[in-house]
Amino acid sequence: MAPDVRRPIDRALLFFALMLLAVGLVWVYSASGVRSPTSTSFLLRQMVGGGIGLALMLALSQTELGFLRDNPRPLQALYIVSVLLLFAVFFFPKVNNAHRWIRIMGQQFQPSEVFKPVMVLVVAWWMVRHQEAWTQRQDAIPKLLTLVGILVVPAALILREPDFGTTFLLLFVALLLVFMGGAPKWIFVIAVPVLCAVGAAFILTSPYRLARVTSFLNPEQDPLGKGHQALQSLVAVGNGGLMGVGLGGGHQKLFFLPEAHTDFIYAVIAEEAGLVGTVAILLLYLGILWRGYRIARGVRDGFLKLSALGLTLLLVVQALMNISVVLSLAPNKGIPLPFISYGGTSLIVSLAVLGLLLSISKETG
Amino acid sequence: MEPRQRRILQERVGTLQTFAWGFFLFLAAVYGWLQLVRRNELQRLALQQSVKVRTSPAQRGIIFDRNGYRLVDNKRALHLVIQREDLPLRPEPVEALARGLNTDPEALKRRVQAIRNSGGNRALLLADNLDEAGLAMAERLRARFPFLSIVVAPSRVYLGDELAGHVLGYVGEVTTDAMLKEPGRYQFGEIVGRTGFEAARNEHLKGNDGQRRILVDHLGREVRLYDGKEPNPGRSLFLTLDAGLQKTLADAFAGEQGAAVVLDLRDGGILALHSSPSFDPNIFLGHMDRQQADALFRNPSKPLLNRAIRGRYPPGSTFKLLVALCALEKGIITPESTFTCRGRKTYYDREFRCDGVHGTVDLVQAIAHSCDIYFYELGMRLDVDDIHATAVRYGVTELTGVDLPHEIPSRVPSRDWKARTAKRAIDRKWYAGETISVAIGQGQNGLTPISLARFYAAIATGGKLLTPHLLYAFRNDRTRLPDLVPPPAPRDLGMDPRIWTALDEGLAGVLRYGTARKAALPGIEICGKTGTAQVAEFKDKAHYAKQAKHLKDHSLFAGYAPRENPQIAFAVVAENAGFGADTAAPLARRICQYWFLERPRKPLPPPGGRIPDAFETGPRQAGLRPGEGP
Repeated sequence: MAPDVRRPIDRALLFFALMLLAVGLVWVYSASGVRSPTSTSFLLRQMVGGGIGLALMLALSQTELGFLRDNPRPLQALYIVSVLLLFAVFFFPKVNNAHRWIRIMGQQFQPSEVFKPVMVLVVAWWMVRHQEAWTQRQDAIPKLLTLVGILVVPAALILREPDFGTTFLLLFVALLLVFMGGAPKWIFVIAVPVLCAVGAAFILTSPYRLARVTSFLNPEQDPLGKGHQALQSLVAVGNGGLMGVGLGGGHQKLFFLPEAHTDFIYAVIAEEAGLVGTVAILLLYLGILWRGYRIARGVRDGFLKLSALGLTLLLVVQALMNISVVLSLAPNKGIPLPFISYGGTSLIVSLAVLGLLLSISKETG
Repeated sequence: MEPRQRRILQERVGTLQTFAWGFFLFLAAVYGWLQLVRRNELQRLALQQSVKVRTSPAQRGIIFDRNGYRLVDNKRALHLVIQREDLPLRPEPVEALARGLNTDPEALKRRVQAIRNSGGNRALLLADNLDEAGLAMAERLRARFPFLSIVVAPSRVYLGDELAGHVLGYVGEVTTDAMLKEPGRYQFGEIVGRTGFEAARNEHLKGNDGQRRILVDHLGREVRLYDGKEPNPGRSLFLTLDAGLQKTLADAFAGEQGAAVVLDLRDGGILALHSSPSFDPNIFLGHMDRQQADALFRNPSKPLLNRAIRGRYPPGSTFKLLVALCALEKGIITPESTFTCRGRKTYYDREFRCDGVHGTVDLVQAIAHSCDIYFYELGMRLDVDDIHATAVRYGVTELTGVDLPHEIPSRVPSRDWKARTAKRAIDRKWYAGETISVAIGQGQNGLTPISLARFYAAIATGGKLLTPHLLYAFRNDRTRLPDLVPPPAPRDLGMDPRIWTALDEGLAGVLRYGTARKAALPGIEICGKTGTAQVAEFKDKAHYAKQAKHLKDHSLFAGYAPRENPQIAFAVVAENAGFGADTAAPLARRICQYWFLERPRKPLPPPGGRIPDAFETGPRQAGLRPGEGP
């Protein structure tokens, strides 16, 4: 056995993530207290999720992801399992009008969350494995079409749940990975307009999705109807001012914000901790982005490099999407804020992603 | 990874990084804009929807009589209401609720709309002063209609029931008229004194309502207190009224209609003021049923009319004192001047009669026997404007200034008055014959009992014009003792003592040997004058006896007691009760009997001592405060 020449994990990244986790626990308690019968039931469940997630993170940070580069079998197995799980959600009853959860023995989890890191690894692996192909147009097209084929099934399943937000997140991160993985530029000249057109058509054909988009464009127009969440979230943010109204003192979480402890937790933080809080959390995510890039730059191996970028983007893009929704800069798609929003699967997966990033960080140097 | 790929990757990551940094900066800028620039606007929206204002009504001041007996108190009442933000938006629940309450759905819908349009935070009152059964009903309704609330609010309770209804008045929601008259003074739905002392001293009694701002959730349910201002209770106060005397007076009226006022000659404080029939102010606090409403509003006896300050009665012979004053002060007669009464005499071609044949009478005898001929002779020699001028000088024509709302002035006719008020041109001229009637208190004379009492108080005090008043003291909220309010200063009328002596002598004669000798009270010498005011004219006594009650003469008596060192003055009017000596004089005697002989004089705590609670809430009793004894 070769001597272990790996470096210690990236402590700064771990610090930023744990800070976010701590902030998350505080505000899950603050935002959910009023809707919880014992005031702490949401907090306790989030803590259980955090515990599992931290254990998983520690375990994953000890793995050597580079191993997958030459032995893609486990990756393939993971892909197949997660696609099967994505199928399985349709056999479980709808919750909130969507097939997003699998419920076993009273515990429920979201397969689409599990699929996120799997997808990043699969795309990174594929881009590096076929890197020679990207220089030749005749090679690039079939390889890319195959990749599209690999992604289209799970993406379609997630879209079918329906979970437009996660689908968008996955495809967006995948597109960025393809872009960074060296795919020829002309592909994007074609792919980006095509994807936009498909997306537009998708939105325009459904009144429900159209309503969400229009409400995001003009929340004040119909404050009691579809624009309600958007306006309430702005009110929460604005009410916070520079220093916030104080921890636990927010008004908007009193059911004026419909999903105060999940999708709109950032609005609660904005109200209670003010601009100081919102900027601090933005800086923590910026810190994750910064450390993620450093890891990607420092690691030699292409697969690990691309995986590190993809995993980082998974966290940061999702955070930015959530924060944009709170500002009603984007339609509400039900995207949780990584490490902070209430939700077991999301928290565990975010910590797992962190674990993978930490394990890659040992390969730098 | 191949170097070329690595280069492409570095290059593209760089691009992405620029975008990412840009986006972070953009987000921070947007948050900065929202949280710094648009903060006030959004904060207002946040408070508007999540903070609701609830008024905490101030406790109204308690009203005591002069001895600390509680006349008006507060209680906590339960009301069934819909808070403004709970008002149903759709008509169906309102209709269902109207069926549940057995009321007209359209009327309820209109009220809901009125509250919604009114602004402020007033609740819609559905049922007030819930009793046990009402509370059970309200709870049942609340189970069906969750938008209902049961609120606790202070309410009034008038402990004496009918005892001093006209003095105390009652409270109620401020009327639209009052709000329009003084914009900005009242809040919509504010509880104010509507009549009586409650209205006259509303500013003192009402206190300042507090405000509770509560944090509510999206359904308007209270989460916790946001902030608040405690209500400031109103000032409790003491009336000059003596509950015992008031009770005695009310009992003595025993079904007669009329009014009586008893004044304290030291300061003009009203010791008793009764208007009969009285009413129970408690009826106005809750829901009034049809029968109660009819008994108040459609009753021909007009129980709501405060006859003591709003009833103008022809003063009859009680007015002779003023005519005598006028004649004496003008020097037309001296106390020793005499006229001869033969029972009848013709003036201006019309025969005037006297009640008896008094022979040669001087002023004292004329007063004591109420000789009309004597005063007809004065009427012949006086001009009506002279009499009016004396009335003005003695304050009879002005408002007495009593601290009760809606007092009307007494009326003593004059040429000018007739010219101003007569409808037909022919009636505008004053005829000398009319002065004859005025001289014996008939004609267009109309005096309120309170101004009559004040006039007799002026005689009793030898020419001090007092201001009748009810406010005796404020209760010091710390020591719970009365802080006496200085009484209004009396006006000195500069009455000639010799004139006073003659009038006093005459008034004493009334009870010694004159018209009211049967009303004399052994031990206490009362001075007073009977009055019998004609309501309609009759041919003779037989004719009169056959008339319906409401056409019979008013019975009046006004005076003071005791003759040596007078302490109280009074005026009593009993409507359609015949001769002054028959009804009103015995009533006056009853007043004096209670005040001077029966009134309990228990020892009271020394000055500065606390009024014991037991005394405040105990059985009705009366007494004197320290230093007040006769």
